[in-house]
Amino acid sequence: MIELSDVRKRYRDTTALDGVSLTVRKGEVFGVLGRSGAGKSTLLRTVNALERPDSGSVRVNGVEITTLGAGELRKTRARIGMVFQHFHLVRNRTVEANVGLPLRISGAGRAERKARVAELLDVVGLADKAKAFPGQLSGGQRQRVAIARALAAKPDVLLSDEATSALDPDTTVEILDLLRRLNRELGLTILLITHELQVVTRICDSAAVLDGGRVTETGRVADLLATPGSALGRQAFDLGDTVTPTATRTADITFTGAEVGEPVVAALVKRFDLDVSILDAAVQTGTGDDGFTVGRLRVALPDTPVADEALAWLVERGYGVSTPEGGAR
Amino acid sequence: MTFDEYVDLLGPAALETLQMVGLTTLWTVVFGLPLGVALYALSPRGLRPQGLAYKAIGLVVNIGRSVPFILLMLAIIPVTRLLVGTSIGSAAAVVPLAVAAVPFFARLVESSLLEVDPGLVEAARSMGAHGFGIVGRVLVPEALPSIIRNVTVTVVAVIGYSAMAGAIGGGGLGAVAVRFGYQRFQYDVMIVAVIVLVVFVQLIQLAGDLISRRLDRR
Repeated sequence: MIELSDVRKRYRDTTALDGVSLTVRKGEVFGVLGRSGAGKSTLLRTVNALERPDSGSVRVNGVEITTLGAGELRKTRARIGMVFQHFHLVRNRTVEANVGLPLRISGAGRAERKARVAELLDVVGLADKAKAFPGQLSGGQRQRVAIARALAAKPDVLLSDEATSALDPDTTVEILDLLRRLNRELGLTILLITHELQVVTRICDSAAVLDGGRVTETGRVADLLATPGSALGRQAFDLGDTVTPTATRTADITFTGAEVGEPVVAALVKRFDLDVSILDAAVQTGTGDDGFTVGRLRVALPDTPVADEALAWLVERGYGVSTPEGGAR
Repeated sequence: MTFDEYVDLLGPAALETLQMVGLTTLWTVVFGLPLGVALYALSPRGLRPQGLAYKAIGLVVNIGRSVPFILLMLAIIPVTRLLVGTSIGSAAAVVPLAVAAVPFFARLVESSLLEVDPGLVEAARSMGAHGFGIVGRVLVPEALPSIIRNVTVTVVAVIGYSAMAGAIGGGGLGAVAVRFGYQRFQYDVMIVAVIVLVVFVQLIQLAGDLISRRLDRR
């Protein structure tokens, strides 16, 4: 649905995008995670040509965006919805007028506009706020209005620029769940950028980590989390720098799906007669790929050959086993 | 002088002033608003930055604003004659008044538009809006309260200028004040004329504030 290939963009003396390639499949929620300054914003804006890359190709639904003329570009943009961190609603116009704006721009008739706006407000749960002004709404409600507006022209793709970053945690979850629902019900492809890991783990099917204008890893979210050594996994299972006594070794055991329910520690104790102590643990669940659960457990084991054997046994059983960075080997 | 005499003398003059100011305001908005939009659009932060065109228009606007009104009025007498057929009277005064007010108002419109969050423009762009769509559907509605406030400021300035126009052949309260107060030492007439002008300014400011506040939903 969206395909970026070796996209590069420089501003004077900074490189915003340094050869970015990624593929967003039709109907999926794709998250780009990165710190501020990683190039996320620029990346997102190349998709609807609010930013023109210096080189590389951007294709949306098979159409090369970078070479479109002004008229074609406007038509294409109308088919790509966009929501923003600070909503960007016209504050002096009603909710109704805001949601209808893309339809006015596309020249839709009054009756059609009215019907579509009512339908959209219903979808986002704001049917009773049609005549309100954005200033009278909460942040979450404003973002709902912005989402309704972005959907007005029935786009195939929704771009989300840190849509939840200005919201409190509860509202963030509400908006994320709304995006997820729209993705499922309308088959809407969503490309979002965020610096919040939770956004990626909660609603994304696939993700890419962007750092210094480069994609450092990309794949299905569940797979990334389950891969020892993944930066996304390391951030998600924030197991910290656990200090371990000497004469022991630490290991991170990653388990997914079916393994979650298995008594892994008990198995190590009973089967190998090991003294296992749990240092830290975390579990991530998400709605990507119809739901996944990935957990990671940090344990301390005696530094003995039996421990090696036990870890090898775990790998055989499908667990991910890795040595935490900085941990005693 | 009795009250009735004041009314007979100042009433028609006040009407003339209103007429002059009203017409000037109309022309100022008609020409100044597009000019202000053009300045905004071409400015470095605008929709279509064009350094050279922006500087060229900016220069003309600045010249218009820097020539003292009383000199401007004299300098453009030939133009006034061409447009109105005469250079005397309140109809003729509208020409220099508008010429002075248009660049003044255009700058104010430019700054009103620059106050609008650039993110809003970006949002409109992302919807596939073209330049006029962005201006008409997003920029002007969002900046409207500020533009109305600036219309008020402009009208008040025009009232001031219109009195000056009265001194050299324009009509209105300014002409009466100069003729009676300055040339015939009837200070009472001058003072009453000034009071009427003050009342006009107050009323206009009040109305402008009211409209602007009603439109402002931020």
